[in-house]
Parts: sequence; C-alpha cells; structure tokens
Amino acid sequence: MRTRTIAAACLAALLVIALGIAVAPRVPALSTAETGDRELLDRARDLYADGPRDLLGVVEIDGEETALAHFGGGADTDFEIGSITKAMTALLLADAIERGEVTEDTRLGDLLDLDGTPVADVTLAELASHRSGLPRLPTRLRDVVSSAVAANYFGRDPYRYDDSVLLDQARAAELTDRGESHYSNLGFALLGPALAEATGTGYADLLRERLLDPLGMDDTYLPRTEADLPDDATLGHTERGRTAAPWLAAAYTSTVGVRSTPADMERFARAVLDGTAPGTAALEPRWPDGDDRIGYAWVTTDVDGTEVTWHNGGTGGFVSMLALDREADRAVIVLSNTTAEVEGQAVELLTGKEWS
Amino acid sequence: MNPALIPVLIGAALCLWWALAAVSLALAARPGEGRNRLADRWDAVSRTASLGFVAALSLVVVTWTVVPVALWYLLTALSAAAVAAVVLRSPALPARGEDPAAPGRRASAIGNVVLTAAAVCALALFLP
Repeated sequence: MRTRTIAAACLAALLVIALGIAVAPRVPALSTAETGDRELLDRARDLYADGPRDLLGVVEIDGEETALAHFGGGADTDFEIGSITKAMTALLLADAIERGEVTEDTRLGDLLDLDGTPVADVTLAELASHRSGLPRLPTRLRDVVSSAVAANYFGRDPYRYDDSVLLDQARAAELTDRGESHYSNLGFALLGPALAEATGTGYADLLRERLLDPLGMDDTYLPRTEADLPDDATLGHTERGRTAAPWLAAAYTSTVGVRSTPADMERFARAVLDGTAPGTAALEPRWPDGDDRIGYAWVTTDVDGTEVTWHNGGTGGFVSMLALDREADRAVIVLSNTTAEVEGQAVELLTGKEWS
Repeated sequence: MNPALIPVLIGAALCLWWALAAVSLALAARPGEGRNRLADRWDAVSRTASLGFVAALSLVVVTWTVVPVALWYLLTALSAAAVAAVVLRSPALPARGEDPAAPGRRASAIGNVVLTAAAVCALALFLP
C-alpha cells in the first residue's frame, strides 16, 4: 500500500512538472541568424542586444543607398506594423484633400451616420492630428473590459468590433480638450471609413489602389481573417511570454491593421522621402504635440538639432518604428516581433544621437 | 511611482502568493493534527485547487518578460513537491472530518475546484 502511495505521489509530481514545462512562458532572445549589411548588423546588434527579442528587421536609407540588417527572417518577412498604419491613413487623407474629395474641415457627421452626437462635429484634420478630443480607446465599460482582458492577459486582438460597433462607440464618446493633442486610436479608426465613404470605396481598396499598388508594396496587406494570413506569417510574442494572436483589427483596421515587410517599408520610406508617395503633405508639422509637433499623424521631433519625422507602432506581439531625417534624405525602419521598444534605438541609428 | 515598476511589483506579489500557497500546502500535509494541518481530504482538495488557481493566474497576469522565467520553473517544482506531499498524506486523512468546520471545508473545496476549472478552461479557450 505504501509503495503504491509513493508511486502515486511521484506520478502526481511528474504530472505537475510536465504541465508546468508545457505551458511555461517563453521569452525569446535576439535571433543569431544574421544576414545583410555587416556594418549595420554590428551597429543594430549593439543597440538591440538586450531585452526580449526574436526577429528584427532593420532598414537604413541614406540617399540612394540602402542597407538591410536581418536578425532572423529576411527582407520579405512580414511583421505587423501597428500604428504606422495611421501614417499611411494620414497620407490617404492628404491625398483625398489634394484630389478635392474632402477638405480638412469636412465634418465626420457629413460622412458617417453619427446622429448629431458630439463626434459628428469633429473635422477630418482634427481626427488625423489627434486633436478631436476623442478618447484613446472606446470608453464603454464592456469595450474597456473586453479589450483590456483580451489584449493584456490573453494576447488576443482587442479590436474585434465590426463597423456598426465602431459607430456605436463613436456615438457614445465624449469629447475632452478638443483642439489639444490627445492620441486617439478611436479617432483614426473613424478616419478610415470616413475616407472610404468620401471616395466611394472600402478602406482596404483605397489603401491598395492609392498607396500600396503605386509604390509597388505587393507584400503589404490588410488581413481580414486569419485565413488571409500566409502559412508562414510571422508570429509575435507578448510581454507575458506567450505567442500573440494576430491583430486583424476589424473596424480598427485604419489605425493598426497593416502587415508589411522590410523590403516594402523601404519602398514606402523612400517614396515618402522623395515625395512620390501620395499625400506627403501629411508630414508637415502644423500643430503642437507636447514637446513635439504633429501633422496628419506624423510627428516631428527635434533630436539635438536634427529634425526627425516619425511614427511608431505596436500591437500585442510586434513593435515598429519609421524615422525620417528629411533634410539629410535618410530613414531608418525597424520591425520586430516582440514588444520590447525599438524607437529610441532607431532614432539613434538615424541620427547618431540619443533620443530621450 | 515609476510605471515600469508596476509589472515587477505585480509579478513579485503573485510569485510570493504562489510560493506561500505551495509551501503552506506542503507543510500542512505533514503528519499530525492541528490548525495548520490538513483536516480531511476535502481540505486537501481545496488547498490543492487554490494552488492550481494561483499558478494559472500567474501564467496569465505576470509579465514574464520582466520577471525571470526561472521563477516559473522554481515555483512549478515547489508546487510538484507540495502536490506529492498531499498525495502521500491522503491515505491517512479521513474522507470527511467530523468537526463543525467540515461542511465549510467541503463547500470551500467545491468552490475552489470550480474556480480553478474555470480558470483552466479560460486559458485553454482564450490563449492563442
């Protein structure tokens, strides 16, 4: 009897250990499968060696020259670019204004069914420059709870809302400090369908026809369902040490929904730098944004005498940074599939100066 | 307070809770009677389920990119030892105690098992 009890105790302990190992959190380190420009690899490795990292793609544009550095993956590895999507949506707005389809003073209520709620009076320029007074995220209790729990604790897409829910969230939103800069994902989520309505097409088609196709960004896309993801789609890692679910972003696609590659982001950055991308007026800084200045989504920061125009991005398992020194015709793009920050290091790669 | 400290403090608190749950279960499984010993098998089930719950909570809530993952393995080993101690002790425990607190222990055990099962189901369903 005693032997059987001891055997059962050992078995129970082994089961606990096996379960613990099976579900244990995993924190990756920067991939050692390095390819690309040796000098850039050395500089990037020094900056990104610490912290939880896995795949990292670095692109450095200097005039006509481009250097690529890949820690795992390659130029065609796809990453969620998070809120760099906003920088693309902002170009679409500036382009639609140049085409005469909207003005920057076009009211949201003229394009979307907002039933005379406070948000109906917000202009497209206010949305694009984060001065609408809209909250960062929907404030309805059920949305706060479901998105916070989904994203923070389970590594899932927090934006599983369809278009009608987005409009309900907008109608329920209060405007606070309108005219002052307060970053709003909700605002950019509304800008996409507003532009789609003004131009008579869907947001995904608008992005494809006016930005991605003209710039040859064939590997950049907006997955609508998990079936749209390729079998080898890059997986992100959450800060809790788990695999992140892809962010499809549903109705929030114009704020965080794009996936792209280092090669395509080089095309994008180069077209923005040389002005061949549509709507580059979006980059011009026009309003105060804390210590910085902001145009349509694009932020301009003085980094110790160098003017850096940038947008960063983050999802549940990815972070990204696109930083431009327009005067020097230089750009740095960093794409990562972990949530450890990349922004300051990207600016240091661009300018050689620390970004506080 | 520095916001970067928040995940460290939350992680430390949860890991401490987990460690205390495992150590107290192992100590309670020692032979003998008294307030800090397992009173019956319902008590053993209740405390083991509590340990499972705090482990599941730690898996989801702790920011393991900030808190060393080695702690996870250490606490798993501690929990395995505690569970083994409970199994070793179980044959000597009455199935159900006769003291006035026995019904409360049974209710507590059922509650803890339901809570832990719900947590495990949530993990299985929602973790990508």
